[in-house]
Amino acid sequence: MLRRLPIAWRITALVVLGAGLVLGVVSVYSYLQARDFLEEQKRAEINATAQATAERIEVVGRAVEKVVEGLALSVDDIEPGRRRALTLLRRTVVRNEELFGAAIGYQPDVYGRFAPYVYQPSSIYGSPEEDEGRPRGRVVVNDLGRGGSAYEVNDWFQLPVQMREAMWTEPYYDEGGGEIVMATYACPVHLRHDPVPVSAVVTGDVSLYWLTKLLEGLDLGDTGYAFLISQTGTFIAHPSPGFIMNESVFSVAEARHEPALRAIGRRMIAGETGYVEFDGIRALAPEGRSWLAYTPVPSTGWSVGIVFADSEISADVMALNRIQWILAVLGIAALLLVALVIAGSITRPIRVLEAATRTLAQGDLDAPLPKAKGRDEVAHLTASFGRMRDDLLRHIEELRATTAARERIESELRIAAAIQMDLVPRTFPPFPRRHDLDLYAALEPAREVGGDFYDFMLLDDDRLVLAIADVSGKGVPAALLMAVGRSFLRSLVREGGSPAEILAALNDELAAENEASMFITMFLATVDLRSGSVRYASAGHNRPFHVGRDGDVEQVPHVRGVALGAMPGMVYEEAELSLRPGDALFLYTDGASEAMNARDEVFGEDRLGEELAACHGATCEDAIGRILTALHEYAGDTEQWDDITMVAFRYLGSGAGWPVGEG
Amino acid sequence: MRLRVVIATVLATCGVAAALVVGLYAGGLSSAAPATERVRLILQWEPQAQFAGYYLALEKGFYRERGLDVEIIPGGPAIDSLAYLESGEAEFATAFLTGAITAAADGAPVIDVCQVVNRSGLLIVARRDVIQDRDDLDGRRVSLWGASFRTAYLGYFETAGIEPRIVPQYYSVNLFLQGGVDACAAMDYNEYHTIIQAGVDPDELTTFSMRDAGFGFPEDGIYALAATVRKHPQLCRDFAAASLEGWDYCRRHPDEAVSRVMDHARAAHVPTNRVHQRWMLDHILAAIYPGDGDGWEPGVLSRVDYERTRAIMIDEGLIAGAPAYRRFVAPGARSAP
Repeated sequence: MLRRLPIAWRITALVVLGAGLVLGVVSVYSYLQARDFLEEQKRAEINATAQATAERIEVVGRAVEKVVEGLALSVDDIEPGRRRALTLLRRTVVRNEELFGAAIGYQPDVYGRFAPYVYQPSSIYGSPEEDEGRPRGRVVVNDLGRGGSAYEVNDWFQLPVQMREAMWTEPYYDEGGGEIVMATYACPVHLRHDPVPVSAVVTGDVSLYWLTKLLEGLDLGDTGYAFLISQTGTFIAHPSPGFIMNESVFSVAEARHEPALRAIGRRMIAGETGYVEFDGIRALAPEGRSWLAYTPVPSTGWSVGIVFADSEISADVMALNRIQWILAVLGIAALLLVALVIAGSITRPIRVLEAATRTLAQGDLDAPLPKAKGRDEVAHLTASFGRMRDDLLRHIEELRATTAARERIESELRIAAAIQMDLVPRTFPPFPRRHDLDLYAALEPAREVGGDFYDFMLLDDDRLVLAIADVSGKGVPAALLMAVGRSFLRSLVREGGSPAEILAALNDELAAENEASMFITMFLATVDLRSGSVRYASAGHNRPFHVGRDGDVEQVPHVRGVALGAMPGMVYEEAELSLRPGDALFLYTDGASEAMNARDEVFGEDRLGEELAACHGATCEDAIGRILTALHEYAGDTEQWDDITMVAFRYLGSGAGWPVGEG
Repeated sequence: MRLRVVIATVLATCGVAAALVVGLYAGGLSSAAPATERVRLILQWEPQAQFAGYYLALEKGFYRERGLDVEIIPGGPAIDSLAYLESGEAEFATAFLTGAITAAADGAPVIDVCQVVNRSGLLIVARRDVIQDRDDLDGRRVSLWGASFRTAYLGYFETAGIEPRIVPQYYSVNLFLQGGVDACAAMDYNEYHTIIQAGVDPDELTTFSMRDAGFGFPEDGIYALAATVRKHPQLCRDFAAASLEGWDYCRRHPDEAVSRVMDHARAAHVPTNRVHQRWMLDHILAAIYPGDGDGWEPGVLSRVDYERTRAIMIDEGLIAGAPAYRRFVAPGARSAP
């Protein structure tokens, strides 16, 4: 997916991703570190708060215990006496502000039901009345055994009697007195001479109203709270008033089906101190992961619990890390901008170059390339593109020049070829007034101008000169040599001499100025038109065919002689043959005998002879036409690589009755 | 012969009842006021699910439908519900069968008009670390409720040949929880669960069921004075029927029943919680409505159960003697002969 994006975006994305990852890891690490630290701190703080709270309750508990134990000693001293018991209780309650009330419950079996009870509703430790501003020091006196009321069934009497030790009762909702939750410290007393182990139970009550206020006053954040449970797990103080005295840790655990809470409750009522992390005990903390620190109040057997939501700790850590997070976000944003700018600046030349090369590719080589700034890869690339463009331009310019030159040369060659054609006689019949000969010639040049030529002329009324030549090589030099050779030949023929002498002279002329080491093969013959005798010489040229008037075909006898122009001073052999009227000579160059077909096979002199034989009875023009046709058919599509030149001469003598060419 | 007597009695009773109804109706007409009879029910304890049926019968108008304008008086540790009958402070009272038999033996003219709870929920709950089986109770401190509640326990101890040191138990189990006794009396629907809710695990306790040991006696019943039953037999039947209808409603709507009980408990400042009241309701309902194999009929005190209970009480010396079945049980609450 990333690959589809432009490079600038990819670079930006990767840079931001990479940097963001590093930043993120650092942030998370520091967050966790801070979290651990704060958590540790919070744990210590909560534990300390729990301890301090437990100690405050403990102090009050111990104070009440001391007062009650002191009272018990006094009761021991004073013997049962209604007035004195009341005075003692009244004094005790008034002097000890933490005391809500105090009672002496006498053993009914021994003393009858008598349980004087003195309480002050406005104890500073807190009944609701305290808030209503009731006067302090006002005490209320009561007899719990009045009317035979069975106080001995109450825990505060029954438990110390049965267990014979002082103890804190389970907190209870006091209906008779202040309508508040109370806890009672009850101390058994044995009076002298009594037959029963416990003569009376002395009690001191403490209102638990203040406990809720104490716990509410703790600074525990938004979600934290404290609670206090009794020895049976019953809530004595809790933020939910409905919990107090009604629910216990265990009833809540049962109601919410949370056995983990029950386990915690059992540790709490066992007097343990602890710190637990829990998750999902909704009864304690609905918001997931939380902490609970608990510690006992040793005197009463109660336990203080403080619940603190983990989220609160996280919130603190968050607050601590807020700046860091903001900086991280700003940093990433800034990084994004910088990365975009840098990536853009890196890729801009590439984009410009890309646009330029696109224009270039469309053929507009003159479109300007961006200027290569600096020495980076893009600059190098731009420079390379520039050089490539320049090379391309130069190459195209050269190509254009070369093409123009070639076209000029080719046009010159065409002119040369035309000139070459013009150099050979092309008017047939050449001697229209003479009826004693039939003469036809053809020169079919190859692709370029070639070096073949033929010539014939009448030296006088009786003598005809026939010549055919092939200049080695092709092209303009060959054509030029041909022109030179033909000029020499013509002038030498006019000076007179036998064919061998003419060839020797021509050889000397050509060899003298032949710097290109080019040569010419030539067959030269002089025909005596009166007798039909032919004198001929050859300078390395193909032997012509002698075509008899009866259709027999044979090559003329060989005469020695090397190609013209190779070296001066050469001697040429000369031979003579006689033509009967109707006999013909067929001169040709190797362009005819060595014409090739598609399989690189040459036409061959034998096949040429056969073709000639097949032309028996035809005029010279027809015969050359047929042979040309045969050669073309043989070559097919194969390109003609050499000039094809043929000259046909038939000696007719006087009135032989052979057909001659028209015109 | 005997059947004839029964039929005659039933017919006579019906006749009296019909006359009474007609009389009440006529009285209502003549005074142009609704034909309602004002009656009071005193419970033997504070508001809790043990009495859910009566609260719901009142709330759902089952009493009113029968022309009864009922006031429920909550009881408590200091209240002897049957005493309210004799003092005229209430027309009906709920009481433990053994308690009622004791009262009757002492001459109180109380009659069982509806035996609501026929299955005993009495348990002895002991600390497992010291008591694993019945014989371990011998010589141990065991707290028990007062006299009339002790019938089953004493029979149990005697049968087992053990002599625990009995300590009085009142309305809390704190003496047991504090370790003052090794075992205590408990109702399966109340104190047992209270102990569990104080953080003691069931596997830390050994429980002995009096019922399983053959000392299960019927418990809560509705009582009226003999005079009331005699003068207003239809009223007694209507009260019993409406009360049972209340219990039936609780059986069908336990959540609502617990909510109503909680309302009454809150109003009376009785510290309790829903889970506990639900536990109590579930267990008390199982003690009211017979399960498979249970032979009793709700509302009926069978002659067999009555006579067995009375015999054991006499045997234990708790009472010298007690009224005969037909004198103790109102016709509507008697089992078929």
